[in-house]
Amino acid sequence: MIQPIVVRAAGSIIGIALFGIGPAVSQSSLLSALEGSAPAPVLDQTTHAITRGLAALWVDPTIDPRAKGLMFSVTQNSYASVEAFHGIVAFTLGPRWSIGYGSTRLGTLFDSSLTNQDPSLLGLRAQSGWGRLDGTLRARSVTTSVGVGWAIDDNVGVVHSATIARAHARIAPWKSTNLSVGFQHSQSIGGSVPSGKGQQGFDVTFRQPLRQYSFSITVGMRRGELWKSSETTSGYGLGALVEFLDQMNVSAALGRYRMAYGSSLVESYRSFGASMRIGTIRFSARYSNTYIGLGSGFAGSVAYEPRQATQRTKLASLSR
Amino acid sequence: MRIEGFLLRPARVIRTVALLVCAGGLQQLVDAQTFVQLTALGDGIGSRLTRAVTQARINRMVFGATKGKVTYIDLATVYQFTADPLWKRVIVWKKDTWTHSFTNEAGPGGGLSDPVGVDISARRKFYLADRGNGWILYATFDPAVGNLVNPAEFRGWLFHMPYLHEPVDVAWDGQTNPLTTDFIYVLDRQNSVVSYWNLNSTPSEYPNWAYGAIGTGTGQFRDPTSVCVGKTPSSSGGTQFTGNFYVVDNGNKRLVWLNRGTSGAVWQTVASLANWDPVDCAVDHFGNVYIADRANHRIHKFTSGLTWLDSYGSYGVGASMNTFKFPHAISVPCGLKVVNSQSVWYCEGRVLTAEEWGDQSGAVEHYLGMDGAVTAQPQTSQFGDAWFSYRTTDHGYHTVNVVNSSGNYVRTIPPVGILPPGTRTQYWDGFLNNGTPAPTGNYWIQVTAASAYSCGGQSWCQKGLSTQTFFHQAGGGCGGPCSPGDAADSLSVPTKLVLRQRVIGSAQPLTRIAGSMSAQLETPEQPTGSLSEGVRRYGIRGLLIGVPRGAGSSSVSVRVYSLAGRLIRTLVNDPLQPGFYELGWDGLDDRGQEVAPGVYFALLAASGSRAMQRLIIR
Repeated sequence: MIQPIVVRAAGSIIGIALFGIGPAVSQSSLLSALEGSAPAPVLDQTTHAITRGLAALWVDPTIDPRAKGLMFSVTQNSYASVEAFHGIVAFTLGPRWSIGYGSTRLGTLFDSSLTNQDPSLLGLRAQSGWGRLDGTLRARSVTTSVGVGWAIDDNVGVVHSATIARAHARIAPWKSTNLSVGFQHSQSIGGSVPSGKGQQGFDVTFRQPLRQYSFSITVGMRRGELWKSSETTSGYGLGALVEFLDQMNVSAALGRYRMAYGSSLVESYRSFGASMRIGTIRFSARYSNTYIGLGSGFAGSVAYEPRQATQRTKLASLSR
Repeated sequence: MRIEGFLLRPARVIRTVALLVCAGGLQQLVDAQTFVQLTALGDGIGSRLTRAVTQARINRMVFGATKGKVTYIDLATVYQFTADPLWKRVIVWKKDTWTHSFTNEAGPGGGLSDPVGVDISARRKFYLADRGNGWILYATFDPAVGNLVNPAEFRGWLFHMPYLHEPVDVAWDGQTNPLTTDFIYVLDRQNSVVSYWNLNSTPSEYPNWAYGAIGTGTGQFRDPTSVCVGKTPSSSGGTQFTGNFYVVDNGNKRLVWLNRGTSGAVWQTVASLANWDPVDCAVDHFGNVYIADRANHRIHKFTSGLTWLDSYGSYGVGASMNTFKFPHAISVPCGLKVVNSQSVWYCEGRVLTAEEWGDQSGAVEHYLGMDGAVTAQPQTSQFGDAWFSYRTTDHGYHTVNVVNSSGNYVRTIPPVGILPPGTRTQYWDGFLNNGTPAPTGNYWIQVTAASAYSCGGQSWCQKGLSTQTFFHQAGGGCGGPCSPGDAADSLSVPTKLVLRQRVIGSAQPLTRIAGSMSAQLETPEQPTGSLSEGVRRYGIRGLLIGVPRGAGSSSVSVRVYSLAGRLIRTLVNDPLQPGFYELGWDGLDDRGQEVAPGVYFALLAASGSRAMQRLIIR
């Protein structure tokens, strides 16, 4: 590939650049966007541990090892017209198993001046998909999970795939302190997308019940990348969640990421989420945006979550 | 005067240079004179050439069942090989003379059963798909005896079972060094699988890879009938293979484009035409793909990216122009020739079709020469330049002449190299050959497109196109047919913010465009034959920007964002004069690093208004 030569002066590009022909073998930014996405109301990949329920299984199955049911989520990026869909089903068959599916797609890729001239452009797509299977076991104060995933990336006709393995562990060493520590490792183990060094995550969550309310706060960090051309290389964040009787919750998070490429080396991120549970159905919504302000996204999800023994106990004790 | 004219039009100079650079990068310039026609074809035979190859020379039954057909040119001596399943043989021809009938009766594996697909490599290794026996026969063609020698067969093995079941076609792949490389694609109809085998030595039990399944979706075929391999000009003046290959998926009525990856095939896209019956395919020197449409008696031509270019033919028997009768085999002649004292392998642009036998039919040769039409009549701008659009159906050299009302050629734009088929927009800057501005008056433009496969001016390989007469006003036109009161700059300054995508072959600094934009807005220039082909190759890196009056006094910004909304690159952040601009992103971020492939979006902002378009990095 011929390396680009760019000369910048007075805010304008005045140089001439050359670039090689032919698609690069790398995952597309669309797959990166899917990898970094999470269904509502999970705040983001770094501070994921502050919420519970089915949505959290997308990023860490050990957050709530009892969560079961079905969930479907739609995320709409407000400006880039990126739509992400997530679906998760979780059930117990020995261990707790969760199967997750995520996909992104873009709306119209080409403007009318091009499609009028060549209607076959309408047949080109930019889309990516990701399927996951995780098995989770809890033994005393330790919860572990192993899983595999398969991703496919269609960058306007250039199609690549990848196989991913991931493992999570969560330890609550001092039960009386309501403190838990989570570890995560994900690695691309096959496929045509060039692998990165793997991704490691670490978080500490403190959870405090206060009568009808509970409050939790998480500090998390993440480093490494699954694939060679991931958009972010590391990040850290802080998130907080307030729950009321498991019926309603409100959450907020802030994060900073180190960028593999982009205008700035480090970028901030913030998100807000809320969910309400009516019977066995939980409705969630989330708003997120970047410091730049153009990456605003809105997500909504609906989940069927069968009542768990702990919830019934809590409700019963409150009614007394 | 001429130099002054160009100095006054820097945008045009830059655009011209960019187009020339682009053309040089896209098209490997090949000396067309090194391509010779196989036979003396004669003149005065119309826009297509049709010639009976064997009609009067052979038993009429021979071609009644011909399935596969291939031509090999051994340094000007022409050999042809036809698979004849009716008589269970391969017929070997020296030009039009039948020299041998190869049946393999005494060879390994016994006699041929249902020979259908054939191909031959530069090393004269002959490959035959025998559907009845379920194997591939390979032998060496010996010109001294005019027959196939040292035959052997393989069918592959998997768990003590034959790997191949019902091979219907075989296609040789010489990769980038055809003189010393022998791989083959084998198409198996029974399980709808195409497999890739290394034939540089004795074939192994397993293919390098296999791809496909029975069905109608992506990665699936139903009753596939043919496989052929992509080609491109090589730097040595010959032809080499690309990673592209094509499968005629007759059961699903589609043509499939795949790419040979390192570990297996990668599905690219499909092409389909209404009510067609594709049965066989062939690829020419430049990579254009030809399809024999049996039921509709036609031949269709596509680019290597499967953009449709043209369809030829109708029903008719015998060697009459543009007529076919159930064509079921098609091939492009290939072989050896000497270029610069070096032997190279090359392919032509002629196709050979084997048609269903009839009283006056047989195997008929068709050269699908140059054709074309003017697609948009000339328009003029206030700067005195003009442009029009035309399309051609073959790679060729184009000469453009501007003709005045007296019939004199006042400006000649000579060929800039071999141009691909497709639609092109041609500009005339309003100057004469001597560099002076053309005087006010009526003009028309003539294009002569000559086939890249050596053309002596005959009508079947050279196409002349003429535009309608247009009025040119020295130093200023009016954007179309002139009438009083036309606003001189109404087409050069938009009424609202404009942001359009452009397919370009190289990065481009922000450049103001002079002249009318009416044609540019709707039918932009492209660096290569078709838009979809250009998008697959280059992605979308170009932008056309229109700044309306009032918006340019404040800062105009063009910024690139990732799908996550992160700022990647600020391309423009300056006050701009109202007008149109072109820009090509080099795929770097603000820190000078290459971004990942994928979709990004460009945001144009000026005076509180915003416009967004997607950019695609390959």
